[in-house]
Amino acid sequence: MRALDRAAPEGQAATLDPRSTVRTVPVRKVAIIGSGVAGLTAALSLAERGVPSLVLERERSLGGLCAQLGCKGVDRCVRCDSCLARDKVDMVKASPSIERRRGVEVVSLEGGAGDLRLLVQGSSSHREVLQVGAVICATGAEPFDPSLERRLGHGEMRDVVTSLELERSLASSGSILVPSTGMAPSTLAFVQCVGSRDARFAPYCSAYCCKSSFKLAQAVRAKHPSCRISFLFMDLRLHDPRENIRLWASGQEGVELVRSRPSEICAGEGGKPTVRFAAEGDAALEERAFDMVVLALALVPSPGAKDLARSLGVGLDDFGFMRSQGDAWTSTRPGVFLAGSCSGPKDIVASAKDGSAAATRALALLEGFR
Amino acid sequence: MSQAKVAVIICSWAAGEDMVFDPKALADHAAALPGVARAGVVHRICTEPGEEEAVAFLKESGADRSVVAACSPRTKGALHARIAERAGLDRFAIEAVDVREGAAYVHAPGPALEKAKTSVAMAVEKMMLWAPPPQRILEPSSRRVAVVGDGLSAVLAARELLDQGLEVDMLLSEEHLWKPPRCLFIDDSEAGRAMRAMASVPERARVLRSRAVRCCDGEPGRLELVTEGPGGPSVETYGAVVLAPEPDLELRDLRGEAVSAADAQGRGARSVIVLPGGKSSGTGCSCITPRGMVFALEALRLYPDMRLSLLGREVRALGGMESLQRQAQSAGVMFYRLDGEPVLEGSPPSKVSFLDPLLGRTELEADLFLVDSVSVPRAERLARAFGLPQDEKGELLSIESRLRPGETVRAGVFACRHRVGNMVLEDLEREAATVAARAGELLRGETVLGGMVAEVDQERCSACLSCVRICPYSAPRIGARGKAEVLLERCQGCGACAPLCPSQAIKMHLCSDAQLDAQIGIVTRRPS
Ligand SMILES: Cc1cc2nc3c(=O)[nH]c(=O)nc-3n(C[C@H](O)[C@H](O)[C@H](O)COP(=O)(O)OP(=O)(O)OC[C@H]3O[C@@H](n4cnc5c(N)ncnc54)[C@H](O)[C@@H]3O)c2cc1C
Ligand code: SF4
Ligand code: SF4
Ligand code: SF4
Ligand code: SF4
Repeated sequence: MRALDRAAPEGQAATLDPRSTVRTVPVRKVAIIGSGVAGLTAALSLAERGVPSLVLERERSLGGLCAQLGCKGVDRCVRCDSCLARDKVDMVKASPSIERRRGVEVVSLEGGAGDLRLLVQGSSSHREVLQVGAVICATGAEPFDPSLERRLGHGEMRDVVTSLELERSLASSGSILVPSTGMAPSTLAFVQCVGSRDARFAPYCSAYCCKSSFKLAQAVRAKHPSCRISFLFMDLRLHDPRENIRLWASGQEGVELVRSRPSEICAGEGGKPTVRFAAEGDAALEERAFDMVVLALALVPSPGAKDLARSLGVGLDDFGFMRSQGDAWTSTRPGVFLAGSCSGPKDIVASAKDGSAAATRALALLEGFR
Repeated sequence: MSQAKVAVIICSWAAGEDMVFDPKALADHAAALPGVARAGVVHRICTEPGEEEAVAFLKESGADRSVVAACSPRTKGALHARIAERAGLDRFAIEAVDVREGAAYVHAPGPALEKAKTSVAMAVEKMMLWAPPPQRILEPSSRRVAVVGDGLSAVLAARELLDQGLEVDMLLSEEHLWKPPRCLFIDDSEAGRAMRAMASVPERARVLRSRAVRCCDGEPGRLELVTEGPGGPSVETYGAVVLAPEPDLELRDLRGEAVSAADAQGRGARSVIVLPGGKSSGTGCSCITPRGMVFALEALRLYPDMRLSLLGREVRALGGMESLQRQAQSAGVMFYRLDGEPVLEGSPPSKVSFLDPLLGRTELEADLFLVDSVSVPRAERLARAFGLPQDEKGELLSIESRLRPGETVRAGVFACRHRVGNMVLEDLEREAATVAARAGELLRGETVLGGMVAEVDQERCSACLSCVRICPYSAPRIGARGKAEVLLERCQGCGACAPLCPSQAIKMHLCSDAQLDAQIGIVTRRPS
């Protein structure tokens, strides 16, 4: 029993299709492109408010980037939020008003806000036209390719790993081990802002990596309490100012925070990754070998973003993310809304919140309150 | 009393994709347990055909209660309740056992099956002693939402609610809305967007001025808000309440007066230093923020000769805000790193001395010092009126549950957080949108109250007040008969009160002592 009438209230929205100038009642369904935490949250938020949706995912499985990440809570939850996407996948599967399609690509989008026709292509070259009132684009971003930054030695030294590789190992085997030896690391460095805040690659801050490395560092400490950790950073930027990495580090023996951007990582004695960096307040270049170095990768626009933007008829911003207009969740095309890191790098919580914000905008369009 | 009959459903995916154990073996084990009417494997219950199969299975079993061995009830609880209801059972008459994360994902095949068997046996034993708990379906009596706050945050939350077709009362504590500081907006288009909202949203809402909230009673969907204002006290019913107390995001001089870039120029300042709020401020934030950068850029635009220095330990410029930082740096704004607290010298202060990790002990002179801090005023009174906890900085605490952002310990009462991200317009908008969406979900969806809640046996209660004092959710109160009673809509079933009651008057529904004993019995009796 629904306590409130879920049907569209009186004063049903009538939009003007610019081409036909025929008044149309919006189609009461939303297409959501991408099943990361942003897309899933949008679908659930719409479902809770009585609007059916269709989640379109290019890959074979739901959950996006977040679903590849590991739980960083060893003895207790450290609030890395990785499990949010997995929980939401489960909830979406159990929701009767959310349809899911996997292995589909968007071909084109026609029509006006409220009455859109989305052409999609399935795996078996089968094409289909989906009739929807609004589209939420939640296609995410991709981790930076570390081979573009040769100085950091990824690919040359096995023990220089990316944050994503470490996450995947944590997700699949639950372990954090030195790749070349299979042993527990006794010294480990996090190198922050890899690709980020760099005019050559991503001239912005990726907004998630201070948080994620902080949580990874906590996982390392919990698994290997005697492992010494060096955190090489430019600024400590945690979304939630209540999270205090300094306080944590000061309470841990063998954890040091070094404000420095390493100039190079090369193979030192015994092939150990050796980091060259200028220590704060000291002009001299320091060189230090670690058992293992973790590169905190930037989030960059996905290679497919350009094509998708063209198919959807929406604009891109200077960095190559989906351009927003008016507010962060409204694209340049009426009826198409944005959520998550497709419109700029974000952490999981902010991406999820984007999902609800975009859902409200789609709902307002369908019900004519805006 | 007729004998309880339990139906056991094993989801075919309970053992995970890798089929760590054979679900059929688990079903066979369950079928032989005392009290089990029927046990069987259902093919993936979280798919549509699976759900139908589970409903049919329950109906045919003739059981009046059920155990489902599948994945987490945290995410699938709604599905399980729906299956029970559709099969004609009480929605709480289904006990979920997570044998996937609890067994299949964490143990080798042999032990995983053994653990799953034990878990199912425990759940069956528990369900044999099941009794229907108190419950009520929430019927929102009002689509009207109260937004409490005096500034931009409240306006943004109100807009998000109005856009969902809800009615909104804006409760201002003063006569007029507060103007947001100019430095909150990174460009003119943002300022315009905020100003348009400030002008247009109140026209779409009902604005109640100079109202102080005294208390809030009732349940979600039907909250009674007692306020006091010029016309005397009044009581109104709301479906939900959104708390959006306005943070103070101004840059203020040392006397606490808000200073804009134009003011700085008006005061003839030639050199301005912006200090972080630090320990003394509401946030304890020791960063250089985008607001300081916006102020500096604006000041330089008005008065190109002005010297502007920003001090802070970190530069808070997440995401695209990095561009703002570069813009400020190339415009000549100086950024200094702070190690420890800065010390002001002179009276009135004309110099600040601090430790810069690169430059060492540094002294800078200026004729205007500003402090960049965020504080959340008036939250004390709101916290008291709604019975909400605050964090160490005074901000209202929402339940920081990842799955339920914005909710507070009072169901139906939501709170915006301000100390997130860059603390610029987009962050305020994101918070407002999230919280308003949660309120909309509550008012449009179905909410069931009750289930796992505490209940007081009034005959036994000695009115010692222990439960009233310990409950984090203010659920128990002394009722008309002078005995404790637990409010269904507030109790979260945390169980904190039950063991404290000297009269053993408190019973936990769906988790009674007898049920716990029975479950423990299974483990202790288990042959090794
Ligand atoms: C190594 C690493 C570690 C991280 N750790 C953390 C952490 O600990 N905490 C944290 O908060 N954040 C973390 N993050 C950030 C987090 O992953 C992102 O915030 C989050 O994934 C963004 O969610 P999203 O839904 O916007 O996008 P995504 O998760 O990227 O999902 C987008 C989805 O859209 C699909 N898609 C893309 N294009 C199309 C198309 N054309 N058609 C159909 N589907 C399409 C993709 O396949 C994908 O499934 C981490 C990121 C990385 C790289
Ligand atoms: S994945 Fe992260 S948020 Fe989830 S339980 Fe693990 S540590 Fe906590
Ligand atoms: S979040 Fe931290 S690590 Fe990531 S780009 Fe920003 S400053 Fe660098
Ligand atoms: S703790 Fe027990 S005896 Fe005391 S008031 Fe509560 S129910 Fe009554
Ligand atoms: S079970 Fe917890 S929430 Fe419920 S009345 Fe007892 S202490 Fe309060």
